[in-house]
Amino acid sequence: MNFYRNPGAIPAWSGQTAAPAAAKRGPLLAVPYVRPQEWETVYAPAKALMRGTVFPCLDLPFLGKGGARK
Amino acid sequence: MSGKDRDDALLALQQAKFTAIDLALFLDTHPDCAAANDAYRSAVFACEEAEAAFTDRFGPVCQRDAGGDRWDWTDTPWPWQEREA
Repeated sequence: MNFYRNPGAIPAWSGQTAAPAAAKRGPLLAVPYVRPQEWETVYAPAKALMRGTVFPCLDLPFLGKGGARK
Repeated sequence: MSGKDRDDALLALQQAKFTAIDLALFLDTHPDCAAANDAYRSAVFACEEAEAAFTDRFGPVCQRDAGGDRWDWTDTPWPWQEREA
């Protein structure tokens, strides 16, 4: 698990063949960003439990084909 | 002990608890959101009502609700006995 701490480690899948001058310490780290959730009218309790969230904005199709239980 | 009324009361309690828990998660990152705080307070009240409605008719949900005249924790079905009754 120390792979990314090795300065010389450039994984083949990264597409990089040589370390850029500014990236001597290896591939760039990911910089994730999650937009802050805003308040919205929430589901009624019965629907919330069925959908797995009270928030419509988080009621997402994690299976890639819509929720399992509408 | 079992039956549709009990199932319905337990489901209502699960729904109320889930709503409160999910609203609390939102409040963890939005502690100053008044609308969420109001919704959470309402949800907690709904939880208390749903829990009282269940325990009054069907016995304790948590061990802290057990007792009274006698120890009634073991009177009701265990979860794995729910469908046997």
